[in-house]
Amino acid sequence: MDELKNKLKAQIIEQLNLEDLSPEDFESETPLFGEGLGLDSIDALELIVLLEREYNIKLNDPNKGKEVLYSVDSMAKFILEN
Amino acid sequence: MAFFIASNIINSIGFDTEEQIGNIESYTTGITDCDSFSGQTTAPIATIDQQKLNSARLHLKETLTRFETLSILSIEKALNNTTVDLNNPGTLLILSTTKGNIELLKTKAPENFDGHVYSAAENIARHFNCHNTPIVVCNACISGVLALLTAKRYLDRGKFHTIVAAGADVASDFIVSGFEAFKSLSGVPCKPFDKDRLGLSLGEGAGTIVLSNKKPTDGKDYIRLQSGATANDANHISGPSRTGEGLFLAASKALQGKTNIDFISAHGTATPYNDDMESMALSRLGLQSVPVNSFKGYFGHTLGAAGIIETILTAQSMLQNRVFATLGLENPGTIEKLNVSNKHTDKELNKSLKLASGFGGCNAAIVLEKNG
Amino acid sequence: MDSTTLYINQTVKLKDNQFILNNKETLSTKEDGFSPLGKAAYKHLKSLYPKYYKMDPLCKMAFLCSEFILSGTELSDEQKEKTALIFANSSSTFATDKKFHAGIGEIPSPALFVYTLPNILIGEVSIRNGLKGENAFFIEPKFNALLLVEQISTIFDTTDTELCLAGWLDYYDNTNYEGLMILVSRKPDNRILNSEQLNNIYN
Repeated sequence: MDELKNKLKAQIIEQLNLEDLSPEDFESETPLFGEGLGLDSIDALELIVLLEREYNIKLNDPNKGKEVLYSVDSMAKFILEN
Repeated sequence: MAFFIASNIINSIGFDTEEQIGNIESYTTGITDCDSFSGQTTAPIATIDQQKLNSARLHLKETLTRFETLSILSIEKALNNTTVDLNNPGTLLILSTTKGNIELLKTKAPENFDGHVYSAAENIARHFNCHNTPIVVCNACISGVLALLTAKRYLDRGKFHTIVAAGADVASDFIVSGFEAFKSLSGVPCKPFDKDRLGLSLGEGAGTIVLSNKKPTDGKDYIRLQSGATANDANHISGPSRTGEGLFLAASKALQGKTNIDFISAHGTATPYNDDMESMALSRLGLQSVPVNSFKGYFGHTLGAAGIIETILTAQSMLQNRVFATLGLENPGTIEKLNVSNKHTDKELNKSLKLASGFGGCNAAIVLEKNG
Repeated sequence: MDSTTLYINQTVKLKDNQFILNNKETLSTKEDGFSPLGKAAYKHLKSLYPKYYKMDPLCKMAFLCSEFILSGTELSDEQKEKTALIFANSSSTFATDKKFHAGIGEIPSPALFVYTLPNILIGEVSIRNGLKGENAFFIEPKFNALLLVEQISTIFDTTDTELCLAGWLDYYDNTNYEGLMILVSRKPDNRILNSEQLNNIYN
């Protein structure tokens, strides 16, 4: 699980061009949107692309999206479940 | 001064304004299931009938792209009702498009790419033997309204006496897959202002308005582009401001303190955010009880052509004193309540407001006046 | 129609791997290409604006030019509402178009798609600085000083615009790019806004 979370952090940083950030800079439970990392709606769509391209999981329901993309923790959990 | 002296629309519900109005009156939509883009999306798209397009373009001798064909046909049809000659030094062509000939990326190697927007403009200008180099407005979905505003600004400067403003965009894999990536396409024909709206429907089209600095003298009712403005939300590059800031500013400047508006043609794309944002802006302007509609339920969002096509229809609404229904609307549901309807109604319309918003936080508003 | 004189208060040129602010070379890199120059400029400006990294090269060019011009300037809310942005280029968003197009067959990227409209550069500069005035983006085959001068003059004459950021920003690829951004206002300065002056600055 930890290995997946670290891999996810690195993938998120690369996918979203978060160049000034490194995996050590945020926790896996840090909220990705709003107060935490401050990602926006385009980032959310790019994370959905990430899930599809790297993990072959399609996320079509926007409401489910909010839950799954809450943090690296929730993303890892979702990946393992699918 | 900027008076409308002729116009034309080509899109999924017609090749001229009369055909458009006929289909609008019968609540007909051109947004249908589309095989051509099944690789990119299952969403319905309002495409132009290829057979109709083929017969309409038989007289065109040059090799032209679909985008250039639509643009030229629309301009030709508009000019047919006038004595305007773009070879005259006092005339100017202003084109409006978001992606022009982007389809050529499929067939041309990058080093041979001749699909740049300015090349398309040159091809179109050559067809009409334009004396002056055309101006090309490329400002996302406000391009059409901005082209009209630019036309008025140039007419007021006195450099030209007649300006042809034409906008066009074609449906392409590029555009369809882009909006699909944004998950903003509706799986059913779009439902502007509806509480269950799911997103926009793309459409292809071309629209042309011929503007003159001389008031028409044929005794008929006429429409004048009275004023206009643009403004930026300064908020987000793809989502509109939640308070409708930019649209509020643009419309305020266009209205110049007067709120005696009889009708509003909204941008009304039917995305959850856009329609809410427009309702906020209209409420802030004190215009929430003015009849408002979206034309996009009839022929989709025609991008670079939208501002021109929908302004032509707004002018027609004013000339006919008729507020056309918002097709696709069943149960209104925007953050601020709006005066929307899914039935055509008669009403005296002397002054209208046309709104547009686009990616990049841009917003535009123009005021049209009848016999002013 | 009010036609008061307009002045070019600031200029930034982006050419031959250099940023040239008001005719004085401000930053350059030995390495060829916009990528290293942009990175150096971002660090030099100390903008501390993480969104920068998401921008495509065209928007980065616009952002950096506007940072050179506007950093150190405090604009009131009223001035921000009255700052217009008027730009043109020949490439539209060609470089990003190619990148997006290449991804269509697999999974198209929304972050790339949004940058396939040239006016997004106006959006990025507006967001960074809170600018809410008039917007316009034009496509021309090559730098056209007359178009810019006419558009800027008209905006000042017919609207309540007090400041205008304008220019030409073209990006075809990492080694084929150029930019010119100017700040225009009614505040008297050495350079009057006209075609001759603008062509001199560009060339």
